[in-house]
Amino acid sequence: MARMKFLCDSERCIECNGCVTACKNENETPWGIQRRRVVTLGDGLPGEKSVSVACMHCSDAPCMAVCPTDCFYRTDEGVVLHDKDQCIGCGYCFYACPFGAPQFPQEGNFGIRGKMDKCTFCAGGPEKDGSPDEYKKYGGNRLSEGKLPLCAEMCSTKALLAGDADVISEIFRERALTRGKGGELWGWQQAYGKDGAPAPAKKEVQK
Amino acid sequence: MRMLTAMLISAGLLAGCGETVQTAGDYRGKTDAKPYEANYGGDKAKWESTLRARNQSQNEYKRVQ
Repeated sequence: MARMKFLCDSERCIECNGCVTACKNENETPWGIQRRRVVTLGDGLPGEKSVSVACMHCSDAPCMAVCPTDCFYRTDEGVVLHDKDQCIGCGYCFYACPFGAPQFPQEGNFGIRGKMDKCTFCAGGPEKDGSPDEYKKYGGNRLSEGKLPLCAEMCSTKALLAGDADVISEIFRERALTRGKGGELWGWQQAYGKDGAPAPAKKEVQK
Repeated sequence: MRMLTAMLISAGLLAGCGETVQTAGDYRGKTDAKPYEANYGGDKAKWESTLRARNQSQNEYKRVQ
C-alpha cells in the first residue's frame, strides 16, 4: 500500500462545503472544530478558485517534528495520526502546520486549549478499531471498513479525491488531459507527473 | 595573532550557519492496530483490493463507460 493523500481539483470545486459537512457529521466534531474547510481565492472575482483543505498527511510532517511529547505517528498507509492521551495541547503543531490543520477545542475557562484534534483520514486513532472510545476521541474509522474518507466520497463534483497517491494522481492526470487544462495548477512535474510525461497542453480560449 | 583571532571568529560565526538534522522523535503513545485487522481478519490483500476498487469509484471515466 502506498501513501494515502488528498487531492483537491480547484477547477471542479464549487465551494458547496459538502466535504466540511460530511466531515463534521461523520466524526461528530464539537462546535468550533473544523477538521476540513473550503478556502476561496479571489472570492467574487472572475476566475475565483476554491480548494478544500484539511490535514494533508505530509510525508515529512512538521507537526511530528515539533511535538514535544512525540504523540504523532504515521501508519503504514502514510496517514498521520496522533494519540490524544499523549497530547498536552501546547499548540506547537498548529504553528508548524502550513495548512492550519490542527484544531484546539476551547474546553476550559479563560480560553484554555484542549487536546489537539485534526483530520484522521477517517482512520480513527490508537484505540480499538470501531470502538466507542475511538469514535469519541478520533471520530469514525472508515479506512478499517475498506472505505475512503467521507469528505471525498461525498464530494458532488468529485473535486476532492482521497486515496492512494498513485491512483488519485492518475485519476487527476486523466481528467486534466481530457479537459486540456488544470494540470498546471499544482505543479504537474513536481507532484503528479509521470517520468518524462509532459504537462497537458493548455487549450487556447477563444475570445 | 590578529589574523588567527579573525580566523577563529570567522570559524565560530560560520559554525552558526550549519544546519543540524532535525528528525521527529520516536512515537511515545499507544500502539495502533492495523486497519485490516478489525473487519478483514488480518487479510491485508483483501482490504487493499477493496480500497483499490473504492478508489476507482472516484474516477467517472471508469464509472461511466
